[in-house]
Amino acid sequence: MTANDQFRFLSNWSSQVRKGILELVVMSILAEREHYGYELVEKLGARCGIEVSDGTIYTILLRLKGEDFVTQRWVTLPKGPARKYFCLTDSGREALREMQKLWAGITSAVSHSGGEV
Amino acid sequence: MEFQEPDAQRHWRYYRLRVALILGALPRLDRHEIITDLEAHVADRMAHCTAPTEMGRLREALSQLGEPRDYLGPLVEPMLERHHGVARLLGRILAPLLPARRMIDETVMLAGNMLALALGVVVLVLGVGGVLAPSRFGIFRLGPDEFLVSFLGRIVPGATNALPWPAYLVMAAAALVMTIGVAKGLRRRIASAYFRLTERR
Repeated sequence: MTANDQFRFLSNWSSQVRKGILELVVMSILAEREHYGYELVEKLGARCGIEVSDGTIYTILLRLKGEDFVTQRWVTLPKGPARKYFCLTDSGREALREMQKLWAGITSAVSHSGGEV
Repeated sequence: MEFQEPDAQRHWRYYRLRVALILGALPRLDRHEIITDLEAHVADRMAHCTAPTEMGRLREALSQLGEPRDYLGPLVEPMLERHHGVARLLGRILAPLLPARRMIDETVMLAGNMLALALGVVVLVLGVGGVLAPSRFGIFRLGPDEFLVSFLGRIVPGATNALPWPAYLVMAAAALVMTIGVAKGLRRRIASAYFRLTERR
């Protein structure tokens, strides 16, 4: 395997892992306070280093809304377009707690699965 | 969503049309909500873009959003798989016999929908005409065993309308319900066809 192949493999793997935990990260951010879509995308990039398209985040928010994990409200601004803010519901918080437990279990299992290389 | 620059307005309309085509399988309220959300999101994203022109900001916002098929696909795909009634029965019968079942299923349904829509419109026109202009629209009795269906035609002397106006009213109402239902089905079929046409190979 060349260095180039390895880089491609790692970059694909990293992207898959990040996508897999996207819902967990989005819900964790929403647990702090309500956010609007653009703000959420920016925070994901700045804080977590996850670069995703707005459309991907939007689909996740719709899916979470479908599960009743988030609620939304329109806020009219004195200047500029109206914004839709998303906020975690009680059932969303409950699901988030379970997801965080699962994630902690996975990371613990991974770190105990083998020796240092 | 309105733009000052005609190019930006055109570009947005085209993007919105693609979104609407993809969302064709969803109920009207869901479609409306998603499009309203997208408009708000694009407007918000544009407010943060730095391009000097409206078109530039719109392009930037839409590139951040991505291809409608990519991000809306997971939402609409389960809806496109749903077949109801006759379509499902036909699909089940044909499944073991035809390898290209899906394509045939889609084509048969599309043709069936279009035929039903045409029939619905014809009956609707006949029903409405039979109520509003019973001397020129409707089913006319020409003789003991002879009938004529007329659409704004010149009726021969002595011919009488075979049905009373309430029958045409019922006919029009039933045709209207049927036409709306078929039009919804047709929209879903078109969305499905568009979805598959834009599939990346």
